[in-house]
Amino acid sequence: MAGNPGGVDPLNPLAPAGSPYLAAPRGPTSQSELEIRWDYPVYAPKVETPTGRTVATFEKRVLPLLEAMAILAGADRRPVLVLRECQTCTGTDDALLTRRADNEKTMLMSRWFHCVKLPADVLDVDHPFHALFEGDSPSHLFIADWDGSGRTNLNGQQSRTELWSIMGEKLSARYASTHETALAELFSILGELDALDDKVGSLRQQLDAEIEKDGPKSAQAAKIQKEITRLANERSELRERAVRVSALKLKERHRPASAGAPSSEKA
Amino acid sequence: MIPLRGGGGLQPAAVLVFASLAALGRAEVQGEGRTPRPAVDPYTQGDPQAAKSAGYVSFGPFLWGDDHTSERVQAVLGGEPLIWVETAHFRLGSSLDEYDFPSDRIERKKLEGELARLKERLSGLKGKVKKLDPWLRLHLYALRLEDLYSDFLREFALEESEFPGPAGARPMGRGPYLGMADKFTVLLLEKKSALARYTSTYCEKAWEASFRYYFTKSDGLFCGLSYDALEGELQNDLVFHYALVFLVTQNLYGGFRGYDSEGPVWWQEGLARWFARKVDPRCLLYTAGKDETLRDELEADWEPKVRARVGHAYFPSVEEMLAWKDPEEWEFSRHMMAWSRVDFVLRRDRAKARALLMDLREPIPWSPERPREELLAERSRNALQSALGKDLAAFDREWAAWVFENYAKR
Repeated sequence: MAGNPGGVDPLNPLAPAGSPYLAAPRGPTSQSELEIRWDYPVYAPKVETPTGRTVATFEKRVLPLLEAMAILAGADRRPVLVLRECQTCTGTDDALLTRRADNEKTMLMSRWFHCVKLPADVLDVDHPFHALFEGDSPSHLFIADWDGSGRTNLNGQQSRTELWSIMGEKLSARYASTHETALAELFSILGELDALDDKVGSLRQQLDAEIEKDGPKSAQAAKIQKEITRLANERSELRERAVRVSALKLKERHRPASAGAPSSEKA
Repeated sequence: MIPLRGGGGLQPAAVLVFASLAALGRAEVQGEGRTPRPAVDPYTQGDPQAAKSAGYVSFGPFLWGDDHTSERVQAVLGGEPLIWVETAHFRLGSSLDEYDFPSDRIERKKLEGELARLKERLSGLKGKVKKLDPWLRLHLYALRLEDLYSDFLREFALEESEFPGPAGARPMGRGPYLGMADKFTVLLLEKKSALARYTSTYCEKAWEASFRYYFTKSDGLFCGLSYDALEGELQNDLVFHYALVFLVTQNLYGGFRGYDSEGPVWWQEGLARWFARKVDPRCLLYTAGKDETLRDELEADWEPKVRARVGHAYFPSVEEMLAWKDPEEWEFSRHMMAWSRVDFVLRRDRAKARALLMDLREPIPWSPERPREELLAERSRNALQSALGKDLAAFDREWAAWVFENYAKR
């Protein structure tokens, strides 16, 4: 971990910390917590056909920046993390955002962003969302307020710590409460969820084996079933806690939107 | 889970379980990006005679689904490098990338067999194959889909010529494709994002892993899958093939005698599993619930497990199974039980299997008096009783006896 060789990041205890070994894979419940919820907008306005049906049309019309941001954001007022896919440098963007132990902090922080993925051809000058990635060397991703203001461009080559710092700055600016405390708690919840997933999975297999060996009336089977129920309830409570912890409140916003006014460039 | 349409909804195909085997993931940086595809199929050189000999109707562009063509799909998916082919019963689009020849012995042997068959059809396929390029993968999947279609017909003692059937006879649907007017469409995408863009544009909601959908206007059934929804050890061609068979089987069943509604769920899942296990019986894809890890392949030897349960008289009655809903909520043993019931039907008597399929897909007229759910349940119950010539309790008993007699003890 950059700047912390041999140490353990308190916010990401599973990140490789000078160790050559990969962290243990996450359990299914943690994995769902770590998933980035992407939006994949396609500009395909619905039109009515002469027969009265509504069909999607795919228009090759470049939208002005403000309109593009408005369509991207919809009713979501969280800050945006917008990524464009790339056919020629597959991996540089994903490397930061793929579910890996050392990306977990990014995954967890993503819940406070509206994450949007655009296709590679957004670079085509006639793509509806082209205005978001204009120029000779367009960024790979950017972080901004929902209306496009306060934008920070990233070229996909930045380190994880740089990315976290940029994400963190935006979160501090846009949310009324701190994400750092929530992150620490979420990491701890993930650990607990993993332990529960592991126990429940193993008990379910034991239960099946027990039933197949001695039948459903086996005393052992009843005991295992009871324990599964207890642990599953505990897991549900933890998931509810994760939801509560993640519920940060956005700050009220007064200033008018001025899309595209970049605050910084990280290339 | 998705809006009902055309008289019934399609399940989201037990969304490719994020299998939890490992998040070890893919190579961090692949470096070179995606291999470009030649515009013309290198194995037929676009020659119409060569394409026909291979069993192809077209390499596109063609009408794909309701109000959209393959070209429009390409436009919506942006930079996704799609290639297309139309076979006798399917239209297939693929953006699958190059695939290294596998090291797994079973997968290797399976591929060698398939490639040998392809060589007989594709004059341009010569020599030892070390990598499956995108066009070769398209040919392989076209072959696999047509194989599945033939297998479906064979297992249920059906003939192509029966569809849509003569007027006045027992209705067999609106068109020649098992009763569907349009061919079955299949989109195999490398990236989840591409499937999400397609489904959000044409299927009402974004789905990243897999999806089935009914196009009402063209009367066709669609199935889409993304390869990178499979993670860790599951990301290989064998598992992807398994997933495809699992999903397309449900479309063949849902489309049989015309699409109106699906189910019963246990039968549909069991049937999909039965055909998918022919691809690789070790694979347990779609057996883990939402909070569960996919089990080890040691748990995939189902005959002794089902037999043991039968031995303890611990199994669900078919009456109970008729009430089973969302397979994502099922415990592991339900998948085995559903598969085993189908195994019982299909391994014994094809004429009876056919009769059951016909009855399970008997069109249900719309009724203002009775809820559709109730009519569907009634159809399932009647089908099982009439096609198998016994009441449901007798079906349970016969199945149990058959399991005890035919399944290995260990």
